[in-house]
Amino acid sequence: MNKRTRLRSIFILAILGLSALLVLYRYASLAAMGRPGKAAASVDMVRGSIVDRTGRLLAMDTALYNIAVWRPETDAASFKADAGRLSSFLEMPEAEILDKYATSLGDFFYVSKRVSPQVARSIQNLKSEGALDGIVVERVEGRLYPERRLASHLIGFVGDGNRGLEGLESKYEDELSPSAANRAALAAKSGGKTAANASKLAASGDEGEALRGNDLVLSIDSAMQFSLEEIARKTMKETGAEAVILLAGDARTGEILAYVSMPDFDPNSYFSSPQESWYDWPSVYSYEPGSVFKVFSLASILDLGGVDRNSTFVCDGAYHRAVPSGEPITIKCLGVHGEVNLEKILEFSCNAGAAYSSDRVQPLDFYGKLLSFGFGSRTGIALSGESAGVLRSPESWSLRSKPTIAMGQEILVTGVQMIQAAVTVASGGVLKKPIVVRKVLSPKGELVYENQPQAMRRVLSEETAHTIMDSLETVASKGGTGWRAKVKDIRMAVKTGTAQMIDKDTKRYSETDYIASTLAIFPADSPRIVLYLAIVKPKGASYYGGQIAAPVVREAADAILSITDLPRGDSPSIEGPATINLPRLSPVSIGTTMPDLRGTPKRLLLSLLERSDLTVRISGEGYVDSQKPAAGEAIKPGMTIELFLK
Amino acid sequence: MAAGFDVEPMAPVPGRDGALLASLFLLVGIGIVALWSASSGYALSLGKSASWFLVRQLRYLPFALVLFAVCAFVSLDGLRSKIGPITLIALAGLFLPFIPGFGENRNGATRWIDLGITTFQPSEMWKPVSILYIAHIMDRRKAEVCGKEGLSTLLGPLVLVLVGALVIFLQNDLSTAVIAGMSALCVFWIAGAPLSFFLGLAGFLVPIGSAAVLTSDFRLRRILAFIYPAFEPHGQSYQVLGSIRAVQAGGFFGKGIGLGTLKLGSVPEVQSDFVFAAYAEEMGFVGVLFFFALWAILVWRCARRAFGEEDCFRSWLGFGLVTLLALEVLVNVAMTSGAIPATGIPLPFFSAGGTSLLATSGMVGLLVNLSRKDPEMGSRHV
Repeated sequence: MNKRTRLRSIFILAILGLSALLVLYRYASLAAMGRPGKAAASVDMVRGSIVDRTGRLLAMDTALYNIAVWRPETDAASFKADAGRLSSFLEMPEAEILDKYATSLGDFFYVSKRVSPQVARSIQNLKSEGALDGIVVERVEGRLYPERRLASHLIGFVGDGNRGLEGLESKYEDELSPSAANRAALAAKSGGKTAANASKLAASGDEGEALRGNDLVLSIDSAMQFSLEEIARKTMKETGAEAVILLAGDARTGEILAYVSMPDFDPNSYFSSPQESWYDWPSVYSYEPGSVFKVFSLASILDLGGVDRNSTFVCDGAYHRAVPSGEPITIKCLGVHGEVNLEKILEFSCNAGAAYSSDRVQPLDFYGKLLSFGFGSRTGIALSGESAGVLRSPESWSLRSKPTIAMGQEILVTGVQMIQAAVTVASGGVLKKPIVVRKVLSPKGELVYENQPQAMRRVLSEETAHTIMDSLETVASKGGTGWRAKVKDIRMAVKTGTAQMIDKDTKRYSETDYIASTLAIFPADSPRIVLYLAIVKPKGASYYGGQIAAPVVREAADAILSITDLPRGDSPSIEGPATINLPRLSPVSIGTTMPDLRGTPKRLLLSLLERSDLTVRISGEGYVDSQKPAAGEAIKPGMTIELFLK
Repeated sequence: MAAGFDVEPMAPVPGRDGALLASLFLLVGIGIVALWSASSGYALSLGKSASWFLVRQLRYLPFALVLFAVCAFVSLDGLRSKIGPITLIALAGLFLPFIPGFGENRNGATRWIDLGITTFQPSEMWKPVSILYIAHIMDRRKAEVCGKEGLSTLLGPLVLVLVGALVIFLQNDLSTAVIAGMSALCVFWIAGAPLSFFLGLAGFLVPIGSAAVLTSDFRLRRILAFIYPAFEPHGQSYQVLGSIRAVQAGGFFGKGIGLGTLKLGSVPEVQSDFVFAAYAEEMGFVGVLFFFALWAILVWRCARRAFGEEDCFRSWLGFGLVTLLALEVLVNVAMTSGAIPATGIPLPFFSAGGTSLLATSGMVGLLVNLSRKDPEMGSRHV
């Protein structure tokens, strides 16, 4: 080898060696990085559950299955037949499967992800009969939402690797996913024992147990949530609306009891619902509230001393104001209401009266009061993407702004802000933060964190709040705009509203698009429930809040009364301390003898479907009514167990 | 033999090269264990027995051993005398996948031919054959190569290399085309081709290479997936992300052979191009270091032999072959750690795949052949 060749060879060796060192450095840094993060949720990591206020399971971890294709094992001709079978199991079009087969890049591709154990079992059975060559059934840690669509926007959903993508699943990711301490414990367990990790492990206790995230206890009442969702769904259908917001809050604590956003989706298969259905209307959508807002504008004016119960104004069908220079301001009212006081303004929803009232207060005072009601800022309800609405400061107001805001225009609010403000009025003038997560519990059931009802600030004097509540009761009386919302045997405070929406294209008020809304607080004498409904873009014959929203609120209030312990009419009410212990129900398991499963709810039976040694058939919905074999019989592998639910 | 690791003088080693053989057999052994461990979970998930991929691979082993033995003992002069037909056959083989009914199209790539009982990837064979040919032709024309008329003598062999790379590229296998071309060019380089030759080539190839990447949706997506791993979380980068996680999970000392878990579901097709991810998970960084050390010994022994070699052909052939192997290893291992975009380069001795195993066996056979002492004296049977 001559000198030149040798030099050139050394040059090549140097490049190879340098590259090798770089790659080696890459491996060293990967190794030093330690165990992969949460993206790699492994089998022994269990995400915390989400339960409602009564302990009902709303989200839990379970085994799900991905269905994939390994191409080299398939045969293009027979795959066509297999695709047909798969399509019936997976409920997806055959053409879509064949298209994936034709266009996917790798030898390995997924046909469907996160399918149920039942579907996976059917495919597995066919495979064991020798069919479906090259179809792979892969077990993954999955998330099950046993109540399906229930409170879907609030709960949200998880994506690949069981990582929260939306709603509380995303917002409370750090609590739900096996916590940082748990992760450290895992790292310590499997080798990387630093002193810090070891001490954390000691603190977190027992080895061997699966690492679990914390559980969330929501303020939601599933029964109430369910019936309000039914009502909202029906309303969507009947009114042809684009969306419906229906919220129920506890008037004493600010806890949200029902959080309905329509259209909704099933978080078990969120990817097959249109992305629009994920939109969280109550928190994210901001809009002009219209006349319902008069509750808060008049409460502000009353509290500031601008008017009192006896102040009167004359409504001749419009609000007039002379302006020293230029055109006088005129704002039309929906009717000629004559001489009106506070009560009448609310009862008839008189725009002129509300506008005249606003003349009695200074812009900055009025603005400050509305701010302290929480308008113009996020409520802090634990949802991502919450909107703050829009409340402009007086410097940018025109001469029309103050009276217009008093009528519920020139201000954008969210449904959650409306509930927060309504709770303030209902509870005697003190603003409380809306709460959706009551408690965070550790895997052992210990309290990690509790969201106590929080009195943030006094917005109104108690007297103002009571005056407003009294006036709102007259709205619900015959002759008031809100009579259709009234449930007969209970005292209710009501306010309705109809807001023209702003046309996105013309930037003017639309002639066809409205938001019809109604607010109800009951029982009016000692408020317990705050109920707010907004129907966005109803398409029917009427779009007035008093006509289409109020009856829905009555239906919802009626449903709430039958679910809760609220006294109706003259039914007796007994008050006294009582404790109810709800057993923490655990999923059913079957050992060597058949247990008595009668009365067991369906959701607790799901774990049985994972058993590979038994065939479990479940028919019907609800609770186990009868079973085969009977209780006490011996269980042998391969047996078929039949459960009939009612 | 036992003294194979000793530091020795730069003179040619008498007899067999113990260090070379030792590292070679260790790599083969580790490769088989790694393949078995890596693929067992995946085979089970496909509904096969745990050793399915291993058994499939072991079926090729007798053929690989025969090829290794032939290449290790064949007379290189005899081989040179038939270099023309050999090169032509290998080149013709590259066109076979395009013949309808003969070639097999998988995921839009036409790299394989169907031999009935098994499939065969002709580009794997072309790589060593092209190096053999270039080393031969450079040796024959070495008087002219460095001289003024060098460029015209180089043109013919260069065209052959480029045609080979182009055909492999048309099989939709850019990475193999690049590796085949680069290793062949290395032989041009050490044979003393003038710098102007390489500068001109770069001016010609860089625009073409960029166009090749940008004109293919498939390649562009791979590059994009490399830059933004979340771009295609279920596609190519899903493999790479899973692979990176496996390497991370291995830490410094690994989980132990057979105890890796991430290989089970996270890295689809782990047995082909991503075996090293499973190896890194189970053996840890220490295992990675050991692997690199074995290859370093192998490369060093071969390069050393090439340095000490008087015969230009033998020197260049040895250096070219070992460069080719080192490139394949580096590209695969870099890809497994996510340092470069995903490519379809198998890891010699590790990845499942018959053609790759045969080609690698042939190459190391030739390297062992070259490592043996003194061509004049010893094994000269035709």
